[in-house]
Amino acid sequence: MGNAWKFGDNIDTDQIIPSQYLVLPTIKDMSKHAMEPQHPDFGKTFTPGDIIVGEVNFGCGSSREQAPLVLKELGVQVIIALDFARIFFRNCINNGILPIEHPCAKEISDKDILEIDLQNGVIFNQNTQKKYHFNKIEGYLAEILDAGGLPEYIVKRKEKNG
Amino acid sequence: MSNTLTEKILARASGQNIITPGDIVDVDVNTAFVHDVFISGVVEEFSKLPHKKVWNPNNIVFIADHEVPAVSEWAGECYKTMLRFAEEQQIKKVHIAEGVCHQLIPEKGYIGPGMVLVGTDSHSTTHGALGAFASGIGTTEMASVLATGKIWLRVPETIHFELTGVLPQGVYAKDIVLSMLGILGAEGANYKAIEITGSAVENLSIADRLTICNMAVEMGAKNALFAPDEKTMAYIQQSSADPSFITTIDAPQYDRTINMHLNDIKPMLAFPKGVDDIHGVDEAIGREIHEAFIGSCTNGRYEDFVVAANIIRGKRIPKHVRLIITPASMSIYKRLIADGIALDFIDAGGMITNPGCGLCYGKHGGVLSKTDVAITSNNRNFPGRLGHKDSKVYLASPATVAWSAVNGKISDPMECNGLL
Repeated sequence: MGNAWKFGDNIDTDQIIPSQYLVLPTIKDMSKHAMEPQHPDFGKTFTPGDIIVGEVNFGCGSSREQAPLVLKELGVQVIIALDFARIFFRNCINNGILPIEHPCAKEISDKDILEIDLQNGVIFNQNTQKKYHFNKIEGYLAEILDAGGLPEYIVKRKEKNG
Repeated sequence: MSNTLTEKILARASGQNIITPGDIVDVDVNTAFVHDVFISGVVEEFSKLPHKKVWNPNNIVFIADHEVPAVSEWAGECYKTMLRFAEEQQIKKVHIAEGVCHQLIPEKGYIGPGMVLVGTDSHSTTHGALGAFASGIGTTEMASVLATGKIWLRVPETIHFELTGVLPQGVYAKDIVLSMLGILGAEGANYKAIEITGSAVENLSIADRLTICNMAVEMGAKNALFAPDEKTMAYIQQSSADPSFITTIDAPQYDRTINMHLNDIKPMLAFPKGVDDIHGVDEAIGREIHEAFIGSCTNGRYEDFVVAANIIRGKRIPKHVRLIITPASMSIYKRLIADGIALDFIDAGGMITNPGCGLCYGKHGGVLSKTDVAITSNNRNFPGRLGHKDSKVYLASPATVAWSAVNGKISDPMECNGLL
């Protein structure tokens, strides 16, 4: 359960982590500046469990993996959007963040309290009392997510297959 | 029903006879490249994997282009990481400060028709200009590619642009791709391939095709390509690219076809709101500008500078405009010097920088102030991308940038007499 942080269309990777902060030594340092152009206090006030909600084309722009990494560092486990830019989508999966594509993103407002049931694929908005079902990711992508990310998955697969 | 070029390439590269959109395929990569900003991340992720050696050093390219010359105390470490890892892994294709990745890769023959390329840069779609499948990926994914030589891909649906007619004088490939963005929007091709065919294609140079495929990612595309033709063959003969993967198309089934008649296209701009806020240049005529930039992986090629120099030659840029010229590679830079074009820009009051990506992502070489308005030939104008978040950036063709620079305000290149 967490608060929704609602953003609009085309949130690009320069909004998620502006390029001037890519030189900071660690992801933790960078994460303080996450979403800064959109919401200056985001990096300081985001609480693990809160949920980012975007609309169209979330994560467009550069391939910088620091974008999902700073969000993961802040405790982002799930991002809901109408749809995602493809490199960002892959980068999320590869780092163990679940991107949920769902039209409900349109109906969620900033600071709504959301409950997400990953097992059953259900999003519940406490403020509107609306319940939404989403398709769970399956197959190869689910295996990567379950392992916690792509490197962890490759290590596991190598251990299994020798 | 025949397959699209993207489907045929992915089928060949995954060892399948028939694939259809929506299939997940495990694809053999022909070229994987990493640039300086992400090399540390890739090497760190690679170290977490059980693989001690990369899959094939001959298929891997490292390019330092984003942070040259060094823009921070960190950059020097990136070059060292790049050189150290390359030496350990016997990777020979390493280029430091020789040019922008999306120019060097075609120029050096690292990409040819039918090949599969992945790079740690979103503008990797550029290489579809030569009939290849090419797409951008993140650092963790790249570490996995370096280890295994493979990547999983969802076979994309294909949006088809059919180009007919001839571009009017003063209108260029950049205006075509900005028009495409106007039609599809910044997310209109998300997860999809773009294929460009039609009777007008034979008149588009390889430089033109690189410009168009470069900005396909601004529409969200996974990849974009032109089928190989005589111009492609002539180009790869010169670059010595591997011709053994050539794939052609035969009346494929497309998801959607969009017809564009080039005679109807006029000089276009992406307004400062974003890459898909597309308008004709005529809607911004007279807007004062402070910086004019010609360069980048979109429009920093020799052909672009010839067009710009024909407009600028013999004129003087007004004092309130900084004209910045960034050739996309050292070989282009050398041609500009040898042909005297470099002098045309300098004599007009322009600055020529070394090849690199600095300005395009707001790192160095032309960072914008709060009140600056710029007109640029690159590919992105996200708020704050080129400097202060309140600065304003108009994306345009090199001709529109050059003519606007001469006049100190946004101007229509169709009204300039110096065009080729």
